[in-house]
Amino acid sequence: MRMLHRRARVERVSGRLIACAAVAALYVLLSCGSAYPDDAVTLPAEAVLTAADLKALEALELLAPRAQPDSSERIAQARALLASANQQRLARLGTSIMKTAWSVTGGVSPKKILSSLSRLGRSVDGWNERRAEEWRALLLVEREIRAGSTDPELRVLYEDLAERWEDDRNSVLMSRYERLLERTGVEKVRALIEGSGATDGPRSPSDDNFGERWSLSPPVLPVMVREPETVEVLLAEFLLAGEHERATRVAAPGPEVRLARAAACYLAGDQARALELLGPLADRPDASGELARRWLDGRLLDPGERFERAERSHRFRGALFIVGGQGLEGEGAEVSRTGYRAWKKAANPFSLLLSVPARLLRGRASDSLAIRDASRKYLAQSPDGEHATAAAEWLFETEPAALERFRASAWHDARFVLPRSRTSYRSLLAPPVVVSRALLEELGLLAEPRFLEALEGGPALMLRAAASRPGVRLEPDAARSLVVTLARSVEQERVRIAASAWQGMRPGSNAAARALWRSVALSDLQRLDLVLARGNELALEAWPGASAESLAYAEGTIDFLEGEMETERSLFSGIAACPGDALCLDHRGVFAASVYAHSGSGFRLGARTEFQDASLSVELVDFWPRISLVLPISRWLQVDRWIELEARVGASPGGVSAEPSFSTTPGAPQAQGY
Amino acid sequence: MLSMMLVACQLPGRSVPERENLRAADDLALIAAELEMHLRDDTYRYGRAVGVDGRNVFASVLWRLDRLQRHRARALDRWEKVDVVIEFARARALERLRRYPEALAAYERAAAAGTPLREVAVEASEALGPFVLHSGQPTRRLAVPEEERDFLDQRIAKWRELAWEFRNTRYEGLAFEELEAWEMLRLEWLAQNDPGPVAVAACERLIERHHESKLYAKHLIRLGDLHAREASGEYMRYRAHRGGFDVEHYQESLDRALSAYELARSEPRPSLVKLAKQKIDELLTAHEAVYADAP
Repeated sequence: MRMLHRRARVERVSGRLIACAAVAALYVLLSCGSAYPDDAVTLPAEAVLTAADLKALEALELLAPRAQPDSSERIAQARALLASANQQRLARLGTSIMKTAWSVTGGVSPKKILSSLSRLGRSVDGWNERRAEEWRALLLVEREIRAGSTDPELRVLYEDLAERWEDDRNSVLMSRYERLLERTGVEKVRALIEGSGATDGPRSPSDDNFGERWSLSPPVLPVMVREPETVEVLLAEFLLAGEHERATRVAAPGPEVRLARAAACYLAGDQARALELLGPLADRPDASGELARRWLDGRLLDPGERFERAERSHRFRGALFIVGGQGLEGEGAEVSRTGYRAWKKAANPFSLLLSVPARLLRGRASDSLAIRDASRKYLAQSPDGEHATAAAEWLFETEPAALERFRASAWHDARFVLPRSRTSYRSLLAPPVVVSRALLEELGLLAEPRFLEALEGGPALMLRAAASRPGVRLEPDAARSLVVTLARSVEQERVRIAASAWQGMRPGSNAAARALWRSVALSDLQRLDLVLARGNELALEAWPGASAESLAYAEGTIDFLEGEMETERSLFSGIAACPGDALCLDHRGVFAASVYAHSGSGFRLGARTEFQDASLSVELVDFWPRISLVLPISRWLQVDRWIELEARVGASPGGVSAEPSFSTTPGAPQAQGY
Repeated sequence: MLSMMLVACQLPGRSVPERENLRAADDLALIAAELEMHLRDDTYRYGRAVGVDGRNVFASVLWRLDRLQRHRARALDRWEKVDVVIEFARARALERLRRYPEALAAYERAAAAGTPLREVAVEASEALGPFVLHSGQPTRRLAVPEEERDFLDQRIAKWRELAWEFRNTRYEGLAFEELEAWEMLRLEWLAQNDPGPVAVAACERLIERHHESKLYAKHLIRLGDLHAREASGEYMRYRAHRGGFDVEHYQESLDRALSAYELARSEPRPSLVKLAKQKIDELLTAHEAVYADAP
């Protein structure tokens, strides 16, 4: 009940607040008449044309003076302009108040409220900023004073406007010098101030000869062409004609012209000035602000600064990933409800305790496209720059070396040659078949001297149908009878089958999995038989088995593009690892053991032993220990042709589980972790 | 209350034509700046810049200039300086969009007006002459495919000369783009009229010559397509009993197609990475059907 009362009170206060804001904003809007955001322009303090430029401009046909209004008309125009400037200030403030009230009471995200408040702050802060209308008013009044007007009212107005202009200009100059001071040092700034001409430093008293006050403290007045629109045309012309230096000296109020001048400065090689001009514009919420931001990010930003920014962002995102995984990395930097939810989800003590060490150990990098791009650009622009070593290190760290090698493998002496594909697919060619010595012995084939000769005392034999292979050869008929023998052994389940191309499906102990592996092996033997039937001989080569050479050859299961790895090694066997695209047949002993690892979407590392089709696995799944035991009850009872029954026992820090697993329709092979 | 506020907002502080003129002038300076900022872009090696709205900057600039020109609606004999500047800017944008004849005409109009831009306009129109001459249709109708191939070969030879001639100028990138476009056209002609090893070899040469191009990954995908077509053709001939199934040839083509797509996938161009992945998936699906049906 109390909560309801409190809520009602909050709603009442909010309602009043919004009503007050609406009335205030309405008053402001009605009183100002117009609120065109395009007019809300801050005067450029350096809006000065040199005398030479002015003469050049005067000479142009387009700048010919129009019929001038008389004195009283000009004063009226100046007053109207000043009133307009005030109205715009009020309009801007009113709009900000309205938006802020709307955000606070409308229950929008904290980010939007903050943004509204900052906009309101800017409106209040910028109350005293000079506007284009004031500048125009000053020019009108100044023209009258120069023409010799003695109207006291006009003179007061002029003094006021000129003083405001001077204050504003001095504050801009001061902030510019302060920035320069930070960057360059005292000596350079002093030299700049002392050496500054008409554009930057104060004018000498002799330049100004109207009025005692002005000779003592001369106002710094902008020299401006009469028709603002012609300045833009002139600026466009200079830019398009490639006269960028001249374009930098043309000035007029308005963000568009400021942008154009920034472009001219950049194209003329004065990057620092371009940055200075663009800086204030980048905060604007309109199209010119967007363009300024784009230029700043894309072109004008110093490569070193861009690299540093990308590096900071990458490190920050990497830290977020370690703390909260991909969810926090993607959304944790946002000041919004989504960001809040991501942090809330990540701040789970259980997850923090277990996942953070796991992520630290795995060291998986966050999305590295941005840092890679920034490093590459930096090295292209400043190969010997301050950050060159760091950029090269980032490139080395984030660019998968295998990917780079693969790209390079397509080029040999500037000639393009397609490398072999890395995608695994089911081959239609007869695969090589690796048969272990133990199986050959069991099948009684070692009595044949050619097999013994080919084995060379090794643990396994590789059979290939390729005519050009070296080694001992079997005639087509003898080779086909060998294939028949092997196929019969497969059908009778007297062999252990492995094939690298089928690593995605691990051999399970249930009937469905065994059936699948049988069919895979028989299909491969069938293709070999088809090739032999065309009159090809079979080459027998010794396979080194568990040697380093064979293991290296067997690394066909790493999907280098996706960063996935899947590998399995048999222990105490003639064929430790089945080579890529081969079919491996080994003696089916009572006992078998292997170690395996998988990394990609998850991480798994473990060892497995099998005895009489029962299996015991000890593994780490995402660094979480687990032991599982699978007992094939139906197979032991010889009823697995009708019903599949397994007893599964599992133990992990989360608890112990034991359950039977039934299946009357053996179909898909067992999932990993059998 | 809201409607009152809306009405209040629309009370004009300035007359509409005056505001329009100011906007137009503002726009012209900004357009010229945006244009100049991108005129030095290497459009052969990198894609054309896009604006805030995600559209090609030059197309967007041209549209704004056309609107300005329509807004002013001045006859050619009554042009003022601002009209000349607009026309010159249009010529620049058209040139970067590879619409050479229109660009040339615009340069000539700007040059005829006799402003300080005249000299630059004359210089640009002289440079654009060969572009207009060698980028259009053949002067006579080509009767047989061989004539078409000869025509394409001549154009390629000419553009190779021009690319050399314009090296280290602002037209170098455009000349290379034209050369690449004609070589791609020749490849398509070969793929249609003489598919197989000849087209594959032509595509490999295209990749070699334009390995710095922004279209490099696209050429790799085209090579993958050619190999995939070879593999598919081999299987189709077997299906129609037009010959035995050459498993080695099929598998070699399949492997090469996959390899080309993988190379395209390894290039840092997100949109093409997606396309290459899709192609690999499609090819593997088709291969599964062949695998099931093969002898």
